[in-house]
Amino acid sequence: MKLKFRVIVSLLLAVMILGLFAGCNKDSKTDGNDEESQKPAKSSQKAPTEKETEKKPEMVTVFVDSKDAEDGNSKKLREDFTARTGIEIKLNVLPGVGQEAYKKLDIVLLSGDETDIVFLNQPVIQHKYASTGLLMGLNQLFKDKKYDAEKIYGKFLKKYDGEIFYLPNGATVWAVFYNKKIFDEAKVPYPEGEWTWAEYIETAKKVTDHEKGIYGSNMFNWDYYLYMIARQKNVTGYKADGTSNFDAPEYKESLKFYKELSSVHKVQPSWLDYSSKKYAWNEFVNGKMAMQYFGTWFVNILNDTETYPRDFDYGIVQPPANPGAKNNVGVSGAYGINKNTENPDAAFEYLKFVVENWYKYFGSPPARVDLPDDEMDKVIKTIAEKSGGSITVEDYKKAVIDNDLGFVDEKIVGEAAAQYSSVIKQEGERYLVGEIGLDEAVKNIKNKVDEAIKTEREQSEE
Amino acid sequence: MGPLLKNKLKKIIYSVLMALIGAITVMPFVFMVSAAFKHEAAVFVNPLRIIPEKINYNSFSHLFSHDMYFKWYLNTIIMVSITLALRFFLVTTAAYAFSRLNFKGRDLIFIVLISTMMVTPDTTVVARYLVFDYLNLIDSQWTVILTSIVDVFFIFLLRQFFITIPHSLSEAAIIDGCSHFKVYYSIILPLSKPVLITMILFTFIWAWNEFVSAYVFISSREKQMVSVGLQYFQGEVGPKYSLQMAAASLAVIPCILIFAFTQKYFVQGMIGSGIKG
Amino acid sequence: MSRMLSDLKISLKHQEAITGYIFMIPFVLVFLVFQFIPIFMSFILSFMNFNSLNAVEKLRFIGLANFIRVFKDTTAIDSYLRSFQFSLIFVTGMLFSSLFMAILLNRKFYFRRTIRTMIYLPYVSNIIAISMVWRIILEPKKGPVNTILSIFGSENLPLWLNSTKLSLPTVSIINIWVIMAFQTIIFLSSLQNVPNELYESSKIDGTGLFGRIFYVTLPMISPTIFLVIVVSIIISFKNYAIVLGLTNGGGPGTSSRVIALNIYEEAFTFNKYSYASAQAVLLFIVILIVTIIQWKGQKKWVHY
Repeated sequence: MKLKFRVIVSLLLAVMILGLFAGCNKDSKTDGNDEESQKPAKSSQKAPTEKETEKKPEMVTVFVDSKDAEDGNSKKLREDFTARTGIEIKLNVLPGVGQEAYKKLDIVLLSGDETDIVFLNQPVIQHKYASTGLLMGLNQLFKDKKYDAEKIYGKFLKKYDGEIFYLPNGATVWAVFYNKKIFDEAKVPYPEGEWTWAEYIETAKKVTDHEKGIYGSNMFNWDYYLYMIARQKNVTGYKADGTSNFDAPEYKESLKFYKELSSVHKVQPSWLDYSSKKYAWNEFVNGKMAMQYFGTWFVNILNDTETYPRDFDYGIVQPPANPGAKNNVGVSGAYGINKNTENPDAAFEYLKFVVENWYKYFGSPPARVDLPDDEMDKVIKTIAEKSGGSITVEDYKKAVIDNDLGFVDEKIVGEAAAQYSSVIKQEGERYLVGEIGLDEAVKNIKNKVDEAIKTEREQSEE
Repeated sequence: MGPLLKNKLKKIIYSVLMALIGAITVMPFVFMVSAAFKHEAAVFVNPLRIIPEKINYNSFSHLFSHDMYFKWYLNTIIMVSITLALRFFLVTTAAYAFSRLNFKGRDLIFIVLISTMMVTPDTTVVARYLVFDYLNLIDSQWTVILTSIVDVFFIFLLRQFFITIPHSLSEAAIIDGCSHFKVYYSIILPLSKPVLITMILFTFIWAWNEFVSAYVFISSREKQMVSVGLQYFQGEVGPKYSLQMAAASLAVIPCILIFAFTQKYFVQGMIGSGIKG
Repeated sequence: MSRMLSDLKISLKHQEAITGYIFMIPFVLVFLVFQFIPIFMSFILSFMNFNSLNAVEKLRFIGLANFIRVFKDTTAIDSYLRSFQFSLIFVTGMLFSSLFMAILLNRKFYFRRTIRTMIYLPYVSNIIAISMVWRIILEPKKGPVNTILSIFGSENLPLWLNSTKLSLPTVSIINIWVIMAFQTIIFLSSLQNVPNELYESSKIDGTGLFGRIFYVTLPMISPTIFLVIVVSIIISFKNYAIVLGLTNGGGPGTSSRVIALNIYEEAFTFNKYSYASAQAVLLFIVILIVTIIQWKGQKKWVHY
């Protein structure tokens, strides 16, 4: 008897602790909401049991990655949205950025989560979610709201069998950033744009100074760099029969080009240097890299001299392009609505606001066709002002918008795209560290991707 | 005096040797703290330079003015405390049952439990999500606690330990009319101090560094743990290393303290006289 | 009299059984809901066609198709084999180094608490910091290890983490160093149970230090040694975080892609949840077999 009594008491104790914690949990639910939703939370605090009957302020729930959750520009955008529309925002944070964040998003969406807004940072992701039915088809909604997406986004709009699943918020394109100090010291004129990759290498050679530890060119170990020449020429990743097109000569040339930057021309750190983290992606800031071929968002880094102090002025110029491949490449981000959304109205308001105004907050070229010419100038002006005299409005505009280059998606989008990208990196790496030859690398990539596509098809039929 | 002095000298040499080993193992920690004081882009430049060229306090000042960092810290403390208390209770009682009590199905249940240790926990994430969703627990801190309080490893460890305690000790007590709870509480637990301390120590450290559950099941920023909170410090294309290192340096302090404070229990001869094979 | 005693025995037995259930049930209940059910669901999942995000609408059983595919998938098979290699190095290295370290730490020396804590620090240090330090130490061109090797006239310096041949053993050894504190402390705590009298009596017998370790300490802590081996094997097969940190997720190429990492990628990067579950079930069977062999073998050398 005695024993049972004790056990029961202990269990009761345990339950009490549980209850206590559940109690404090509820507290944090009501008083710990996000910065955007503090005011209305107070009103619902008084009578949580009558929540249903009380009229709640309109609320939209939004998936964000952790960069977005913490970023000042993003916070500003959300505040402005609430100020303008009166709709509160609640964040559903996916820790990490890029691929990391999407791992969680997959699980959350699959189990029927109702968070309204989904962000889709690049085409592979956009394709994946749009084609798997996790996003809401937007045509009917736009019709109801009399929203003419065609007129606003024009060529940037993507459809799947006529249905719109997401709206583009803007594209980040690529540019070459250069260190003016290194160019001055080497008495080499600044690059001026409208150049080829051969000219890029020539310039890089002139400014490379191995004794001082200065490299003329800097890239990184992202998979894009391994097929950039081919993508710039808009060579597709897939053949007409759906198999991999990696045996196209342009892909081979791409791989070779990247390797020779370090092995033959000696203007760039090797793959080994990058993957052993001897040089980080932001090495340019440290003043030992004369040129860096990077996304235009890099201006945000360069202009943030508190976090990234530098002792030089930088310049920006359009990326090199070979004849017959006069394109800039880039990634366009997009936003969509979860098909399980409970309040499509608020979601629509947010979607509209974020994609229409994105460029104002982040300075990237908008994915809109309806803007007057001078609209973008205002945005660029603030970028130029923040650069501390490094770049002018003209420099930026010429490098990013007003040049002779077309636009091509940088990613290889299609079946088994995630596997495609891993395989390129794995086999490309073996080639770059000298373990296998160029032909073998290309052959391996082609075969492995074909295998992955075949598996994908078999599995989708099962 | 001679042999005493010799012993002392021996001890000094031995201490120096151990200090050398310690100096090597402490390297990543030193790097972590040093990187926290470096500028973002300087973290990987010349990492061997322990004291940075230009000392950067921004990372720490950012943390101290951050709206959530210390909230995450507090969340972690609360969650770890609850995990510790519940796990201690659940695991010690179960281990007692599995090692010192005979009942039908005991070994079968034990084998099933042990075999689940071999399942990679990440493969069950989707299924756990569905279970928590069904129980309406998603985005509650309980998801993290409930997953981690039932740890099979410690059942195994304690069982291995409890069975080495001679049965004569408990049998005598039972014949005298003691309850099993009394035996568990007054004989077995006190005799198992080092192993219980081991459990507390690692429960604390694992719970403190818990990542996957908190990452997947908690979606509100204000409910997060400090381990996942580190992931919030991201730049355009990757982590803000300096900031993450600063946050990690502060986050690791409780783990260091618990290592330091538990060491006094790992001293030869603290127990042992009670147990004679 | 004897009847009373046997009655008492029966009632004690009965009481013991009831107590057993009461003691066990809280744990088992929580375990059932939050561990066992998810595991069981994952097991079921491995027989289904949940291999893309849109499969959720048309989920159904497809028998052993996922399992059959694993055996045709060279990437997966290679990853299993790599895990064996990883585990072999890890477990042998871990057993010797943690036992040795525990014996070292168990002796008396100055600043014992501080130095012990310093030695445990890698266990709680941030994985990024750890990867960084090891990358510096093993840097192919100017890293300290290769500098020393080149002083001794070694040519063809190893690339360590960047070598397709060495990356896996290197990661495995670094992993020993990172999580050794765990095994060391378990050994340390069990060393506290070796009664001093035993040492003293063996001292009188004139046994040397190593003799004492072999004839007194090791047999006394053999249950713990057994436990550490079993657990280390399990850890070594399940671990992939260190690989992600040190070799950018299994590189160079796929040379350090262990099966746990492969499963993780299949599930969370490629959304092939069923296929990943099938691989996990096979991994489970592998570990189970290894552990059963261990269990059978323990009678020969573990003294309870």
